[in-house]
Amino acid sequence: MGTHDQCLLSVSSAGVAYPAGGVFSRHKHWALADVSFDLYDGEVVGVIGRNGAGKSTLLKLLAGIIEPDRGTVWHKPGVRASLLALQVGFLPTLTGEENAVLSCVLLGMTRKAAKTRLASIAEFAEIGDAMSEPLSTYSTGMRARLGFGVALAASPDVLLIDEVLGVGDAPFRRKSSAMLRERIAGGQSAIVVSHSANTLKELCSKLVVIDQGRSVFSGPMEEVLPQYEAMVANG
Amino acid sequence: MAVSNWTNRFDIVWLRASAELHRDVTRTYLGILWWVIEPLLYMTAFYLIFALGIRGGEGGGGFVGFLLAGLVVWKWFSTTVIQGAGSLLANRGLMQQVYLPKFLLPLIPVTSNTLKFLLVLVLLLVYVWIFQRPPGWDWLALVPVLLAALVLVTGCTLFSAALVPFAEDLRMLINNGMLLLMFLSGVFFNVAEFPEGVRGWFYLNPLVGLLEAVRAVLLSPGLPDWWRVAYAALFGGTLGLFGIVVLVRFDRVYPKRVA
Repeated sequence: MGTHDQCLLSVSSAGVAYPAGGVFSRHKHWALADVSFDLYDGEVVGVIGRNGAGKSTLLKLLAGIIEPDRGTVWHKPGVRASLLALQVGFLPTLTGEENAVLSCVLLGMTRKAAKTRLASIAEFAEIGDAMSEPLSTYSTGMRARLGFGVALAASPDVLLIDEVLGVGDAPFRRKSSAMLRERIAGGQSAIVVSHSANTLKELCSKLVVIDQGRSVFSGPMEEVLPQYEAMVANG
Repeated sequence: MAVSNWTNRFDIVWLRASAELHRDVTRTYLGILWWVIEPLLYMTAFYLIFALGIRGGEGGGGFVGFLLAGLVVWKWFSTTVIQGAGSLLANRGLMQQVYLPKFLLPLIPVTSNTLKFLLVLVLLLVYVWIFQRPPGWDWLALVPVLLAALVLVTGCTLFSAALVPFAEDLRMLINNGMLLLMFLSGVFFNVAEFPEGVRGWFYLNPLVGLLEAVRAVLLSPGLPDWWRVAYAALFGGTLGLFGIVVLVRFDRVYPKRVA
């Protein structure tokens, strides 16, 4: 494992099976069959594939929500990978402030640490005085902004993004994606999943192509993108 | 890291439990009063049926204290176990977004319902003081009895929360079986008055001994049968330990089962 000094995350021949049928059924559905790739410190890896290729399952696997049923997922000790999940555990009866604290705590912070981030979350979300109002009075856009503010404040070592660059109204969408880009330019390691080659071309230096649960190509963006395009063109 | 991990886990349970209590209080006009009205309604119904109806009015004032003590503890047990049994299913969305230790989820209803119970308990103590018996030092025996009850409530909740995602039938069984269990737990009758042969079977149910212990401490001088209290704690402890082991072992399997 000497090659792992800079490596944050290494997936090797990983497969995930979902139980199909009742508790005593032996039937399994392999949502992810055989995926391998590495993520190095400061790198942004794009994962592309058609709908149903296993992209969401892969993100859950990387976030530690589920475990592989075969192969391995290795995290560098102490490295936290989590989904850029929006509005995690939000409850309508709580105020914006209480929801922000609850959400941060669900993302792994202590309550004390969460409270110190409140000011910056409120500022980023442009919510102001409404932070002390119940969430049920918020517009959809306000909720989205608060959710994004919390997700950014949680700042894991590896950010896992499932094409959420489009939340809220147009100005906020620009702001949130600018914020993500800034993070990434600042050396944030990330894995971005998408079925849009354009989004990934901008953000990522490496690309992994997933097809029917298998990583079929992986490597530098400029090498792999033409292979992916050829694959799509040939159906 | 290890310390902040446990602080984080405590914070998750605490914040979610207080959010649940907060919701209870704010979403209805009567708010917190419902925590008291509910057992009182039950009490009235049972009093009418059992004291005035079946017993022909011979139960008298003593029966109200007997009923209230049983109902308050029963309500704590049944509400917590029912909510806990569905706790993993109720948080299926959350489970898909972040990793969190699953054993925390059933502990949320345990915390919120125990806080509610404590409030109602204070009112019960006031009632007993005014209408039945002034408090004495022997009321202190309530502390170990209620701790044993907490172990039983927590144990049954963890156990059912751990197994329900593997067979939702169990949840149906719990929801429907609760009424039967109430009849078998001596909430509104005194099991000690049953014929010898039947009684032994009833005491296998740890709630029977526990309710008797609560009443023994509150309503009459003297101490409870500590063996029955210990049995309830042991029963709950065993189920709880099994539940924790399953919840930890399948921690990352549950998100697949309840997806």
